[in-house]
Amino acid sequence: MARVMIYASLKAAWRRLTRHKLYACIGVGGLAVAMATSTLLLLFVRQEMTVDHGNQKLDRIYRVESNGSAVMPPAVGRDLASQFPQIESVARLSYGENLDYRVGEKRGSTGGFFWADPALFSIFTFRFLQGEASTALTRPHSLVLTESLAERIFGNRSPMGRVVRCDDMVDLTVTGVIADPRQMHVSIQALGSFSTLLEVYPGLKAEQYEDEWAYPTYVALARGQRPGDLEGAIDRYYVSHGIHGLSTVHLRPLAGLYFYSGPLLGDTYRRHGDHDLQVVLVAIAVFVLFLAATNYVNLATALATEREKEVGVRKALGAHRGQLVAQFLGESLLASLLAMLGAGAMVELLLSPFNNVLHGHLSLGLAGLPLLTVSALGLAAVVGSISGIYPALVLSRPAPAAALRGESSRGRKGAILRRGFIVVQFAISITLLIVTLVVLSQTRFMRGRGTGFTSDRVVVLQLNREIKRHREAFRQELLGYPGISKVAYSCRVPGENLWTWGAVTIGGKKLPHVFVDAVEPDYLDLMDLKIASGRGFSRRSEEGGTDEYLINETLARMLGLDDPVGSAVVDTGNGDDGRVVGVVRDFHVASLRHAIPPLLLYQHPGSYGRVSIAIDPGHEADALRHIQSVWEEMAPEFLFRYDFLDRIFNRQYQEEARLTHVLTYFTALAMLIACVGLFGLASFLTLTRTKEVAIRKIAGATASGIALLFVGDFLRWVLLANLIAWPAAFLLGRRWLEGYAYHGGLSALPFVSATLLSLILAAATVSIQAIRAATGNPVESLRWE
Amino acid sequence: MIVTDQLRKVYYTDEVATTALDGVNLQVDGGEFVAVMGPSGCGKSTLLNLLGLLDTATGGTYHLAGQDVTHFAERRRARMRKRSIGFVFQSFNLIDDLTVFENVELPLLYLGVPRAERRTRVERVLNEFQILHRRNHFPQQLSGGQQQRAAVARAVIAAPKLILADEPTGNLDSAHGQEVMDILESLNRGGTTIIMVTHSAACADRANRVLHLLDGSVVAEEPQR
Repeated sequence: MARVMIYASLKAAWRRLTRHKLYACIGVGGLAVAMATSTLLLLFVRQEMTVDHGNQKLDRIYRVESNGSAVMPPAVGRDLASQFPQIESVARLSYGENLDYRVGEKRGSTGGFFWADPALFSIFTFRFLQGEASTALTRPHSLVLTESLAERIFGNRSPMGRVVRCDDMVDLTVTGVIADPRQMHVSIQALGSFSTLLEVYPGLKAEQYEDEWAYPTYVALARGQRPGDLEGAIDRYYVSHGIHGLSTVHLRPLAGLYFYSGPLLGDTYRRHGDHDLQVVLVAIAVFVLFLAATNYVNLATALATEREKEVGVRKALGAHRGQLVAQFLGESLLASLLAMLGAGAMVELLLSPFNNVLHGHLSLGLAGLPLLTVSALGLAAVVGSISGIYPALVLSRPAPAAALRGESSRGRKGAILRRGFIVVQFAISITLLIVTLVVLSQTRFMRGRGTGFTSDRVVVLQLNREIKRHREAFRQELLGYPGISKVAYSCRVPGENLWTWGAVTIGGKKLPHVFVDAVEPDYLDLMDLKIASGRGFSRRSEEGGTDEYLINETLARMLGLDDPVGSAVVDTGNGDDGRVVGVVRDFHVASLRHAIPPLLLYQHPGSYGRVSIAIDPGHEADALRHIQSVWEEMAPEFLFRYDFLDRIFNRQYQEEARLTHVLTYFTALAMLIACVGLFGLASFLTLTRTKEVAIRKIAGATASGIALLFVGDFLRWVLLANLIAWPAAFLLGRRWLEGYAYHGGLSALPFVSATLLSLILAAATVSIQAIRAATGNPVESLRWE
Repeated sequence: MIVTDQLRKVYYTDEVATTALDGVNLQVDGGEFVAVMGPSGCGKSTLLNLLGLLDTATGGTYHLAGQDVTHFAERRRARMRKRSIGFVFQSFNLIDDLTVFENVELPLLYLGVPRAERRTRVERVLNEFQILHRRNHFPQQLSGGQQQRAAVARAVIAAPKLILADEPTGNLDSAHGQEVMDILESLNRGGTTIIMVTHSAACADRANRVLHLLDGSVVAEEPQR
């Protein structure tokens, strides 16, 4: 009998949906959109939360850190591999870089190139499509490509054994191809054998601990080993060998590494997951579902008046309440299932734009389809049950006689609850809107706030061997062009990862880590860096370093000296002791999320890796063409690539930009769902008030007065929603801004803007129905009644 | 069949108490056709609702088929209704989303009658009431007379011992009204007890007995004809 009743109920439910198309669109359509959105968001969050989880040894893999640095000198990896039997494998990586490659006539850039120890494949799980993990990087000059890079370079042909010329400096032979490692905390495109590094850079001091803190180092512990015990053993080892810079080694588990956001130096080689963003996305997924579900509940309970008599009749014919609850719950589940089918189609369509907004790589492969299907059905069941239970209880509650008389729908409880849902919906949407405006405002603040250096029309090129060798000639060729005013070399530019020195002593004070940058005297002029005390560099060094150092104001404060100018600088990473000759006014080298770090500037032509070129206004296009022609003439083997300094710096705000996009899109969606719900409810409620409208008009009310009456009724609730949203948004906004060392504060503008926008949207939504009700013929209404 | 003793019903709205029935004593034997008449608001529909177990009495007792049903819980009432009572309403009260066939079939669904038997019985009744050709139509597609015939068909499909009709011809023209009264009379001749609320003297003439209600009490009773 249950099966028969279910079939009968579902048949009736389907007919009801097709009869009330508007409400079906709003209820079912809204659920479909919400389910599609939530599915995408939750899939993305799942993807983010499972970064690195594909590694079979996940629970035994750790990254080695020490003294606030995420990167180690190369000697540490050697020591760990040879001195500690508790460690099963050790692998070092270099910092990721862009490698220019050439194969025959084909040229390009790899992106994501790392030098790596062969044990990397013992620690991390890579899927080899060609070659063997055990041998791929054991020999010098070996190269492992990802599948997509191999296809880009070699097309359909096998790359195995092929020679790739890299940076016109070293030949590497392809020894393996791996499946694209998407779910890894490091974005790898290609791996070269670490042993090649020492050959390519003979100056690399592989045996020292004081400098070259630049190599992420990973270990896989032997089974049963505890990281705490090993940390102690490593500390004791280095202390006993007199290497105090490594006396506080920490092993960070790989499992939590992706989301780790602590202030570690050198931690920019990897991808950084944003845990707060995942929380925001899950919250949005839940909110959006909640909004759509409350729309459904609201409409279902509002439509209860139409179904009162049906309930009375069914009860009169012998149905008990349980049967009616099951019937209405069944209708809700059917609506939810239909919504999920619609959502499935939407997910397919929205996948690509979604990946663009969130920089994700979601795909609906066949492998994941069974789990996705089960999850989708589960979600439909949960949403259908939750959104259907209240209407089912409300609809089935009336006693038969009361239902037949149509008395139960005149109660106030349902109306209050429906308005309560509207208030909650708008409160959530307005909170999202205010937070979005705060994030937008902060992003604008960071981009617009002075950085302390000039970045307008400054082109930055990455140096190659040829340009480095003919540095001065290159400079003169550029300065010979009228539209180019300044040229200066440096190791890095603001917005890029700066090097650090492990332990430098300034004015007798030993500092564990300072950021350093090798720069020319011209660099200060080009960047318009101001001297706070002392002077700049006295002369330009053509070859080796000099004994002159500049420090920034932050470092000067750390030293705690009355006048740091003249302080001795010893134990430097470049081996050149000297003195502080001047203090530079603080300027931002990283995003305004971080406080300005202590910075030491020095000259060292051998370390220069960038050339910055200042272009006069109006000459940008011609100057770029000139720069390119000079480059191609002096270094034809190397691809001409350039960037602008302001773009390099602002690229740090990609996470904020991503968050802004996410919040903007989903806030708009939340508002849309809330407004659609309001529209549905307003259209229904104006129908039920036609008699009231007719009577008012007969009594003398104007059409505009009646329209205002309707609109005003709803706007009261939206205003109440704002009062609830403001404190919530204030707390969220303030918490978010606290994550920034520099922020513009929380002004009233986002709050006022959000309130005005919500009121305007609500008024526009309701006014369509209000005007229709107000301009109707009262006689028709009364006759209808 | 039906015995009520001092049956009372009071409606409470905020602080206002309205006495709809004020101590009604009623006895209806099996097979009787009783008409209930009275001005608007006298308690006719309330009496019918209590007799049909659609509402609960505030005071007094109600025995139906020898059982004291006064304080039955809703589940027992529902069981009693589907087994023993059929309803005919003034405004037909057919369910718009169900076809004629499905509307008439509904009581049999709640009784758990197997599909084949349901089909046979519904088709027979629809044929008797001359609306078989409309079986797949929805109520909105029928005339008033046809709708009421469908409603009566639904009321009798489960062969109830008692039929309660609230103004069954109120929304019909005279011709269709006559048709419906003919059907009710015919059912009564077959042994079904019928209690009918009506404003129409012509309809009341079809009954064996007429009760007159005023202000919630039985004030007069016309003898059996």
